[in-house]
Amino acid sequence: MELRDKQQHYRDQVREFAVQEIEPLARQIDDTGEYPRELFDKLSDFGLFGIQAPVEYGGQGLDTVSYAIAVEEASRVCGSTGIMVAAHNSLGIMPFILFGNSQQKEQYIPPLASGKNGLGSFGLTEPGAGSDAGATKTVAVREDSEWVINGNKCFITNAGMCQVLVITAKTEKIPGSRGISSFIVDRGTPGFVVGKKEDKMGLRGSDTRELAFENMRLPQEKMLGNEGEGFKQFMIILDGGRISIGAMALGLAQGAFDYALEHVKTSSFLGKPKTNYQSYQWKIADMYTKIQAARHLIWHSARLEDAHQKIVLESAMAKLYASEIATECVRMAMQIVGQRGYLEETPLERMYRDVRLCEVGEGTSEIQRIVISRNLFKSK
Amino acid sequence: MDFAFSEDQLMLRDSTRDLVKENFALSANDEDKDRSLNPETLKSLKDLGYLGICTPNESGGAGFDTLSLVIVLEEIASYDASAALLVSGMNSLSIGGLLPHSDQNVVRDYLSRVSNGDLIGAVAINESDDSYSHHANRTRASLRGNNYVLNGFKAHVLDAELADFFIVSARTGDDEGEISLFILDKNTPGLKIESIPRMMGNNAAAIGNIRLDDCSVPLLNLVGKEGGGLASAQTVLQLNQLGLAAIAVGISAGSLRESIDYSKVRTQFDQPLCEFEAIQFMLADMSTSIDAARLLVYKAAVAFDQHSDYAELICAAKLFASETAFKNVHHANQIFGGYGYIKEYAVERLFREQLFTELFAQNNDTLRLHISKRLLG
Repeated sequence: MELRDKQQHYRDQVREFAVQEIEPLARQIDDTGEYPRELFDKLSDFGLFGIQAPVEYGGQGLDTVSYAIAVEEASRVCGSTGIMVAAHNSLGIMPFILFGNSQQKEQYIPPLASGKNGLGSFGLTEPGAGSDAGATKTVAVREDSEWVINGNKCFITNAGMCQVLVITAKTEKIPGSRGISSFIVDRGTPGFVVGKKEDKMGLRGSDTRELAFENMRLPQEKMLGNEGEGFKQFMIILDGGRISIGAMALGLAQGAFDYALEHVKTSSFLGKPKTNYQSYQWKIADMYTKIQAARHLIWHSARLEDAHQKIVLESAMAKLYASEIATECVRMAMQIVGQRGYLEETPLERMYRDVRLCEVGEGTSEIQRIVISRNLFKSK
Repeated sequence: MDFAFSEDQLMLRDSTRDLVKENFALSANDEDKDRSLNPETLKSLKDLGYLGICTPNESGGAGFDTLSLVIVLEEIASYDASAALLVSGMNSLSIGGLLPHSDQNVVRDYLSRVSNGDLIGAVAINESDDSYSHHANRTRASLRGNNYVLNGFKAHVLDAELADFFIVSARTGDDEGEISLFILDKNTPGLKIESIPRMMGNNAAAIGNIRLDDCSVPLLNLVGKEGGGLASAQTVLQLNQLGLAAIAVGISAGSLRESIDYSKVRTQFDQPLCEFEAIQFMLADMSTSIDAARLLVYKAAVAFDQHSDYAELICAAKLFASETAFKNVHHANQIFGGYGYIKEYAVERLFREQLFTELFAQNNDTLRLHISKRLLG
């Protein structure tokens, strides 16, 4: 669990920034569903929109461990900020970093790493292709030197705030997950329609929308990577995305734990301090144990990623475990605090709604179990 | 042991189910956003006698037993938990608070007007989150001339903004147990309802805090004897706990119903979700746990009706039904995936409503204390 000095220093900095700048606005962000521009610019200035982007493209050039730390710390105080940062970094910019040619990298990474003119986004999920992400119905047909794209996407995080996004479409009429390619879509491209913002249980400051492509024409140079490699690409992107959502769940669990611990240390029940009761002692002990175990899994995955090793199994386990224990931890915190936790005056009410997404987003727990067992059956 | 319902109970269940499905279901999501019950829903509950379903006929009610009440609450809650909370609260108030003292003219009058839908009442007993018992009662009532004067604060009163009157508990003596109950009209000078803008779910059960600042109450509005309100307050709380247990079963049943329907029509990996073993196991577990919780709730209701030892059973029913309900709303939300996170879908609301059943009318850890205390004598 030892962090390198640089990572620890970064952790302290992000914690301080999150507590001073993000936390005071978290409730307002949830209430209004609007992300304040001033805060958005502060995130940009801090570098949270280009955490892993290379320094030569205007990013911070930090490792995956630092990235997981940043998402955790942001989520600890505000789930909406956590997912916005997570989706932008791991889904918005990462496709350009991993699969872009030099021209695409130069054009897109610097403005995305700043974020000032909008975020990045990733158009993968469709109404009929959720867990079964390979069942893409969006079609790209070649006409002369252009691709004509038609289809719909849904649950696209940051869609309303994006300057550019990467989408997947079927470029070959073959069954299954083959024949999918990735395209770069600039905001304002004719035929690219951004739908209404979804009214969600939680993460209400995060912008989630449907997208439609109506005879949207893209030149060949907007293809990201090679034709037909879309499925392989997004599987890699999702491996990293799992670390993000795991880190987000971890942050929410830690936030609930911190609130509950403070409550237990400062409250009494039937005239005795709550710390005297085993029902509270046990919950605090269980929460912290689970949180530390989840942190081990997440940082382990992140370190494997930084060492350029395969992370499919580890990131799926980290995401599965962190999201499930995060739900448990927020629930234990609720039992500790009592019915006041159900009211909006406590951050727990928001955390309970926010954390629900973690077991569903970027692969449900059921999909993680499929990924994990499949890898175990395959291994020799 | 006979598990069959009477014909009256069956008819009541079926007619309630039809009513709720056809008339309440569609407005439940909007009620949560609007923070008030749909006027048509409220009118149906009043006109059809649901608010006085357990009140005896001679007191103006429908005269059903407590088992019938929990059957009805489950049916309503499976589509509209906020409406069920009102039915539960009103019947708890009538049966626990008013009926035992209906020899008093004022009480009898309120009871019949509540039962025929003329008045809405709310229970204002709770003062803090941790109220293990009503002994920690900080609201005081003191006699001044021909009136009692009440001062204090009541927390998280359900339907506070809808109520015409409140049943308020207050300490009338030095002893912790010297609790009295009073009927306070909502317009009583010094009574202030502080609305709570939003809670996680059940927002149509417009919850509020009540501040009592030198509230003057006529002597005739004392319910029962001075200092003798503890038993009534306890019964009201127990009936509320039983009601929440039934509502938890309803939330579970709603989750299962939605999950079955959705898993048949949603296709992924070229087959409906219901063909995946993992989903089938979830549905099997949901159904099994619902039956178990339901039987415990029924048993507690029957014990209440038969005046046998019901306190521990009610605690157990609420504890088990509400925690079971979490597993069920959780499964349902996993089955719905991303769609369960969107407000258009009922399971999104059911998920938020479930937690209420664990935390309110004493949270589950407090119930564990009650149960173990009884076990250990």
